[in-house]
Amino acid sequence: MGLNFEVVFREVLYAVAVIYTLAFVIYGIRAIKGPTTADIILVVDCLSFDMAAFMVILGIYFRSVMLASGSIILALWAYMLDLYYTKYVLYGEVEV
Amino acid sequence: MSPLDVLYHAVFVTGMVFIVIGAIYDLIAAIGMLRFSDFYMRTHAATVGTIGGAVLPVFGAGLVALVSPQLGELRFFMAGIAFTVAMLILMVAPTGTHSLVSAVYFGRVGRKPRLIVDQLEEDLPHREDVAELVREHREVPGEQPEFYFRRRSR
Repeated sequence: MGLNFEVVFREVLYAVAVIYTLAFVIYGIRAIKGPTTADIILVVDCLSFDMAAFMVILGIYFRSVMLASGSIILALWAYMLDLYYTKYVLYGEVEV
Repeated sequence: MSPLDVLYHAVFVTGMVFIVIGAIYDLIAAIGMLRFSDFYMRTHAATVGTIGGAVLPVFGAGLVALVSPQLGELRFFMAGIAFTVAMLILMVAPTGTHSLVSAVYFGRVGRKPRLIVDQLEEDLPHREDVAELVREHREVPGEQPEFYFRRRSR
């Protein structure tokens, strides 16, 4: 006996994708509602990091290294958004 | 089953459990992000959503990719990318959240929530090593206005 890794991964991925999509929708509600810009940026951070995680999982499913390697850029982009917002609010300009 | 097969099954099951737990963490963080009342409370939900909801499933995906036979030789690349992304998010997410919170606190973004005690505000006028940053700007004729920080006078 033994598990068929591909079939088990595919079956679990269906359930996981539903949960992730639900979470993305709820994040999106807060991103639209968010009273201040900082709330929106916090939510977009969470969305970007979770999207990066989901892209790695999808990369295993589609057998594509290119899809997974894009998540590195996505994670760094969310970090850049934080720092630029902070510099804009505190210093008044973005000094690159 | 050979001992190597047992090891592969253990790694695969561990990775799948990490992915499922991470998805549940993500849903909990989304609900918390929607229902918490002010910005400082929402940063708790952001921590759950990034560390529990992103680092954990990426680490699990790396473990799964390491033993997936359908990926062929590609699985080592995939596992390397997954572990790199996990370490990157683990370092980058708390740093970004801290900088965002400092921007909200010192830049006075939005309305400050009603706090029972704010020790930072009590301490700031008495401390020399931490400046309460007040943003001001000076008009320079013919050029862009110049922004600078000033320590708030006591």
